[in-house]
Amino acid sequence: MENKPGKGTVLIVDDIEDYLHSLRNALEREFEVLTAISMDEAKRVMNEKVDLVLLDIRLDEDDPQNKDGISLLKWCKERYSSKPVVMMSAYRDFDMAVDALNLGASYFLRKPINISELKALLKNLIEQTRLSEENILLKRRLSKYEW
Amino acid sequence: MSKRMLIIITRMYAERGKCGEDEFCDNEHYSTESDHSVWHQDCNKKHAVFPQQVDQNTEQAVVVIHGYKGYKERYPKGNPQKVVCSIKQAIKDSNLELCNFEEIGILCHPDPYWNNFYQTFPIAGKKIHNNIAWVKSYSSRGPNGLCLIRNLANKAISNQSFSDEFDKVWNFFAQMPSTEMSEAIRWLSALKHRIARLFLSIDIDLQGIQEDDVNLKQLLENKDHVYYRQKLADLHYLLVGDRVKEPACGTEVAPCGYVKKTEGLQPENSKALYDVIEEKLESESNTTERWNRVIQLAGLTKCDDNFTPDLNSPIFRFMCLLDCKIGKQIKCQDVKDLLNFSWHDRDQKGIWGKINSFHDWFEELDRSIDELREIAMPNKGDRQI
Repeated sequence: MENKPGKGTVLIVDDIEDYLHSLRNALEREFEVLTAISMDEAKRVMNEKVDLVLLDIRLDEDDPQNKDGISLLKWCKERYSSKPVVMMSAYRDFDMAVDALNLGASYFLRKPINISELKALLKNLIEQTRLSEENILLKRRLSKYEW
Repeated sequence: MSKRMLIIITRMYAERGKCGEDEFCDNEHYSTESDHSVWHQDCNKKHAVFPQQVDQNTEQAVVVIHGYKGYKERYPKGNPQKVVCSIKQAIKDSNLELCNFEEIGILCHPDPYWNNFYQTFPIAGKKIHNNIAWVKSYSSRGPNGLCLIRNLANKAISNQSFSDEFDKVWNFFAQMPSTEMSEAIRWLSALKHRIARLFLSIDIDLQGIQEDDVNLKQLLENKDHVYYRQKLADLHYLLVGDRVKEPACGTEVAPCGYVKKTEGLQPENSKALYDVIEEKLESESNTTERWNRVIQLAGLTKCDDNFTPDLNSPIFRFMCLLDCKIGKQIKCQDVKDLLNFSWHDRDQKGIWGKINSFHDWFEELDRSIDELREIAMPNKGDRQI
């Protein structure tokens, strides 16, 4: 799917299809929304135009030890280090939250999610990233005039 | 302090000597990201004893048994009797006397999917000797416990005194919840995911309506006229299983009647939360009041050994309200009715509160199940889920 200019683009990765659909409906007025139901699909969909990834830690209901979300976080950070990744989980798992934050996640959300808080968080993180990238660009331009 | 022996059976589902998997053997020639080598022994050895010279005066001894044997075994994998035999053989070959140790702890590292092993090995393990104080499992995914074992191994294999490290491992695992409790924790985690599957999308849809991002009419399109009540029936089944009995006045398709659960929701003979409470948690304090809170929120009432859906409970009425809008002309008032829906309720301490939305209800239910899970959780532990 082609990303629309002007709106921040969010890639949502979760193994619950209905949930992906509902999140898309709730967010698509303010964001361009891409979705993926598995780690493999997420890797295919992810591109430079994605501004933020919203990622569930466990991507397989039948496997209580599944941590595909953590693997995907590592993958994202290796290839798209500046893109913010927000992790979410239905579990109150402090250790896993710490792991995710140590690996570069920007935030850890617990399901059930409050949608207005989620929208505010996504906007802030996307804006922060844009400002940070703009800052780097301006510094580069300024450095040309240094003597 | 009493004399103690720690018997550690290393990773039982690793291939013998396989790089990055076998924690018993010496992987110094390998350097992988997931190098589990802990004890640095020759991969053909069957066991190792620390300190190397154990006599009647030894206060603390560690027996490490190469646990690769579970690998490639046919069903049942990780046969408890074979593990017991390995322990007995290691003790015999090392000329150790179990009766010299007043307390013996056994730690094993089974495959997380060997459910039967988790249940049967503690029973078989305790029969080895009267002095077996506990039988526990550890996991590479529970970093705290494995880290302590690594510290103990580092001292032991370099022939240094390991008294402090031994005590830390002993105390950590002795305080860990029993294997049965770990099973309850695992099960409750799976239950939380199933409940999440049932209600997460409804929660986001209703919040979307509130935020004016989602249109109620579109939301209800193509939905079966019992869609929401069926979700609630599924929740009831996950909580109490076949003990849920239809209310006398409820008929399957009446506008506000009770609806049966989804066919094939759970595999046959699956446990409900009620079974786990009875088997594993009943003896724990606070379980009853927390369980009562869960069934109250779910809109169930207990009647002898069965449970009946309360058609007047706020959550049932709410789900019914949603179902009644399916396939109907939607008016502004319908949206207002849904968004203004709230109810007063009394928590387990008898304090009245107000649940203002479906989201509040869902959070409260989630929190109540978490509280049950926390009863089973260790204070500090090798969390295996």
